[in-house]
Formats: sequence, C-alpha cells, structure tokens
Amino acid sequence: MTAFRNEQDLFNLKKTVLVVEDNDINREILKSILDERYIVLEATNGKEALDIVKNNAEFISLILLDIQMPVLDGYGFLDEYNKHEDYKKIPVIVTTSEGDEEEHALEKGASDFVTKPYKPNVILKRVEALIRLKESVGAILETRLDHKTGLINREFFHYVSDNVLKKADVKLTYILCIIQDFTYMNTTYGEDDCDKLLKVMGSIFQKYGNNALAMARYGGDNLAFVINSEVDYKAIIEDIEKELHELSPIPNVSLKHIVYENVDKSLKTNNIMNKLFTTYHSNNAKSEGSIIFFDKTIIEKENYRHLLVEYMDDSIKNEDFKIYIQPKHDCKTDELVGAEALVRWIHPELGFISPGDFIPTFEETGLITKLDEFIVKKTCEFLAKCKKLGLKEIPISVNLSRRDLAVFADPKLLTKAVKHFGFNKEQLHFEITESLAGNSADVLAKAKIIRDEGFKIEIDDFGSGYSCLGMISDIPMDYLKLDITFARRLEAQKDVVKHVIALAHELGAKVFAEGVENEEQKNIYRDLGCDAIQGYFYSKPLPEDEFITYLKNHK
Amino acid sequence: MEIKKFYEEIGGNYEEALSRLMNDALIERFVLKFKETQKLDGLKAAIEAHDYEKAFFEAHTLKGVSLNLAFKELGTAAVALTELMRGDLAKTTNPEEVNAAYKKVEALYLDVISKIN
Repeated sequence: MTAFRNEQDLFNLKKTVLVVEDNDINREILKSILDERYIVLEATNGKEALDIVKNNAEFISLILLDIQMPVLDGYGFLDEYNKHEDYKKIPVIVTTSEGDEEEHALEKGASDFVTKPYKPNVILKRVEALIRLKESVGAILETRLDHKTGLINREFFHYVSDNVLKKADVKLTYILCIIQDFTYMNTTYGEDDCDKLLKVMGSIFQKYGNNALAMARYGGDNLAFVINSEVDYKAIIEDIEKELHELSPIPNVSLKHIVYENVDKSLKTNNIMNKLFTTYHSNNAKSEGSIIFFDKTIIEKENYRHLLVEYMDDSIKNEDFKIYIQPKHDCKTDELVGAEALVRWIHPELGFISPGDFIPTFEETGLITKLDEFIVKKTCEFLAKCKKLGLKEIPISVNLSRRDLAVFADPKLLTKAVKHFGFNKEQLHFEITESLAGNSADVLAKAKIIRDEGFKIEIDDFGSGYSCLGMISDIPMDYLKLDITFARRLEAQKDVVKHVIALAHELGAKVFAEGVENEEQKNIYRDLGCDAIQGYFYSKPLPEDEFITYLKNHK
Repeated sequence: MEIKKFYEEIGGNYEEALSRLMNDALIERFVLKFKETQKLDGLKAAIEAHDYEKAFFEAHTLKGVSLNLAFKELGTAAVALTELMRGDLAKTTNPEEVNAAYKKVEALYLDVISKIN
C-alpha cells in the first residue's frame, strides 16, 4: 500500500482525479480505467462534487465531469467552479456523447472533453497531459508538507486518511503523539530550540516509520501516525523515545502517545483525532507508561458529561432539580434539630442522574454556581413555607462550592433574600467541605464574611481527605460534620473521634456525624460526645412534601 | 455466463468491450449491473406523458451506458431516439416518430436483459 509520510513519498505520490458522473456504470468504468494510476474520488452530481472540492481543492489534480446529471448538472458545477480562484486551478475534462454541445462546456472553463464510449488510452493520455501542464512539484510540496518536521501536514493527512487509507482492506491503528509542556519549552528555550526539536522529531519518525502508512505534523505540539494494526506499535514508540532522548536539543522532553487500535473506519479522520484528544484530556483513560489507550467508554462518558451540561439550563427552568431534605437529630434526646438540603436530578429523558456524575461536571464547568443558587432559592422558599404553615422552625444547610463563594460573599444580598422570605437568618446554614476550606485563604476569608453576617457555617466531609488538625482552628465554623468514613470504621477509630469532638467543642463548634445507619453507631457517637446525627438510622433524604409530614411528626 | 457469446447474441461488440474493461470478469460485473440498475420505467413514463425534456435525459443516459458497454444495436437505437428530442426539437417533435423510436429501444433493451443471466 502507498505510504504518506515525507517528501520522498510525495514524489512518488499518485495524483487524485475526481470523477463526477451520476450513472453508476459509467462512473465505475471511468474508475476502473483510472484506478491503477490515480487516487479516484467519486461524486454522483455537481453538488456532491462541489462539497468534495471545497474540502480538498489543493489535493485534486483533475476533474472528469459529466454534463447531464440530476440535482446540479455539469454546467451548474462549472458556474460555481468559476467563482473560486483555487477551484479554477484544477483542470476539468468534460465527458460527453457524440452530438453533445461540448463547446458550451469549454466556454464555461472546461479544458478538454472526451466522448462516450470511452477509449481508455485517450482518457489516460488527456488526463496525464493536462495534469502535467497544470501542476508543479513546488506547489505539491507547498500544500502537502510540513516544513518544520518534513512530514506531511494536517490537511493532507486528513485527505489521505479519508480517501485512501480508510478505503484499503487493512485494519488501522491511529496514534497521536503529544510533546509534553511544549508551550513551556517555547518560553524557556525559545523558538529556535523548539524548531530544532520538531525537526529532530520529524527525522526520528521517518527513521522508525518504515511501517507507517502515514505520518504527519498534526498540531503545534503533536504528530500523528497511522499503521497497519498488525505492526507492533509499542516497539516503534520505544525506538522513537530512545532516540529522542539522545538527539533532543532540549533535555528531558517527554511524549504521550494516545493509541486507537483498529479504528472504526466509518468515522471521519477529524472525528478519530478528536476522540484521541478527548482521551488525552480525560481522567478515565487506561495507560501504560507513556501510552494512553482510547476506548469507547471514555468517549461515552465524555459525551454524557456534555449532555448534562447541555440539559442543565432547561432542567433548572423546568424544575427537574429537586431538593431532598435529610433530618439531623440530637443523639441524646432524639429531638429533630436541623436538616440538610440535597439536590436530586430527575430528567425526563435521562432519568435519575447521580449527583456523583453531575456535581463534579458542574464544578469543572462553573455551572455549579447556577445550580447552587437554585438550591439556595428552593431552600429559602421551603423555610418560608414551613414558617407559614406554623411548623417547627429548624435550620437547613445547603452546600456551597468554591466557585459559589464569590457570588455568595456579598452577605447583604443574602440578608435581603432572607428578609424577603421572612425566616430567621440562623436557619440558613452553609456547608463548605474541609478540603475546600483548608486549601485556600481566599475561601476562608469569604466564609468569614458570610458568618460575620449572621449565617452559620458547617464544615463538611471532615476526615475524608488529608485532615490537618492544626488547620481547623483557622476555619470560621459553627459545626463540624464528621465524614461518613468515620461511621464505617467507628469501633476502630473511637479514640480519634473522641479527641476530634473534644477539639471542636474546645473551639466552640458543635459536632454532627454523617452516615449513621444503626443504633449501635448512634450510641457510640452519643457516648463519644457527638451532638447530632444525620443518616438512614433516622431517615433517608425526603422530598419536600414528605419532609413536611416528618416535621409534623417530630415536634 | 459466456460473455463473448452474449455479445454476439445481442449484436454487441465484444472486442470493444474488452479493450475498455480489460477482462471478462469485469465486463460481466458491469453487464450484471446493467440488468440490476438500468431500468426503462423512467423513459417509458416520460414518453407516455410527452415530457420530451425528461425523456431526452433518460434516453441520453441509456445511450451513454449502452455505448460504454458496447451494446452496439441498443446504443444505436438509443442514439436515434435521443436525437429526436435534443434541445429545441423536444418542443416540436412528432409523438408518433418518437414512439416508434422508443419501441425499437424497448424491444432491444428487453432482448438484452433477457439474455443476461
């Protein structure tokens, strides 16, 4: 099979002829005449031909054009062709029949004509002569080669991949090779050294790429290559890395290779490459040394993430997001002392969506603020409703993410909102995770502002990460919530829990425990001095109306 | 299917087909494709409806394919039909004359199709 890697390959390159003909038999006869000497692209009418030319003008050497065609005929094609300078560089031969008006086509810019029935020798000679007349080697290299690496460029890579490689009867493996920290190297070592690096990469690729079907400079900091899936790509990668280590003008250059084995040939090359980049940026991909493996599930996960982002706005509007409220009880008296508002998303198409899926996604994209605003609003409305119904007035906590703090740090707005809804300020608590509070002075400052305004702060998930006891004295807090992991190993961690509770009390905070599922856990927490408990032992999170009943039953 | 014999039976030019398509296997592939894809319905309907512009288009296609496959007799009949309807002639042409030319094409076409197996 022909390979597309470097200048040498381009000199031996088969030229491309686009055959535009609606009749299957006529088109296939032309293809069979041309196939041995040319890469043949096919279009069944003028419109399809224009689409192909639009994307590949610089790679097409000649067009064989039928006149009588449906949708857009040969004359219509030539009208549009004449409007584009880069199309007009491609010579057109019109295929006519005896008695047709080939003069008209020649007037419209066609260079020559051939008549049906086709004479193979005549067609081949005319095609060859016209191509030779119109095309220079310089122009071929200019449009197909990347001069920094000496490999083919991205546009030509897409072209040969879609029109030649994927049509061949072999299984293909696509590999994207990304130079790590290239931007950093550009600023530190300068453009000259980086250009040298690219040149070295290009020559190493060519040296070890004997088996490659195509090799290209794909983007600023990355190269791509395609090989027959039967070839051992790991050996090639190993050779490339070893040699790069020796020849690189910049020390310690490292590469990542993202590999898509046995590609789905129905995919456009553009799409294949996007999947490789998505795999590179995903946290879920499997890897082995510098090699990262594409697999379909990664893309499904990423697509699901995109879907969640896309659906969010509508779901806020349609109130597909609901608050579910989980009670907190004093573990000595069993009295109901508070609750936490948790978000649930029940989408009409996707069904129940796990918070574990959408919360990290919204945190990454910044959408979490919108969602949290919605939750705060729904919680305020619920507190107002409880007051109006004359129910027990308990505090409810809502979760805040790092992104929210900028928005919520204007406490005047919060006060205004509370006044508007008509409940007590102390009833609205904000939960901030320990890891968030512990890692940023900025977060601490903003939490302090909120607390100074009269709202209570609860530190969430304490003990789930790398807790630092020295830090908790710096956090402005009213409540410390012990993470569910303590409840799971309570017997073994009794001593630690006891001292954490004592420390929190010393600092003036009350202690809640999360994830309490049975009486035994409850009793241990109670005996260790814990103030209140949240968990399935008392109740799972309840929808608003059920929680109202719960409030009525727990006066 | 014996390609050379088939060409003799339908009044085609086997040598010409071979010069264009290189070997019997390829000729056979295209001949079978002709039976499968080259239908007469469109041409027939256009002629019956006196839509000679459309009929010209259909006949023109049949002519091109027949000539390329070196179905000489059918091709010649298709040329004759096409020329009755070319350009402005489509407006002034005599329906009886066209019908007669069409009948010739139809008979030859059905003959060719019946011999492809």
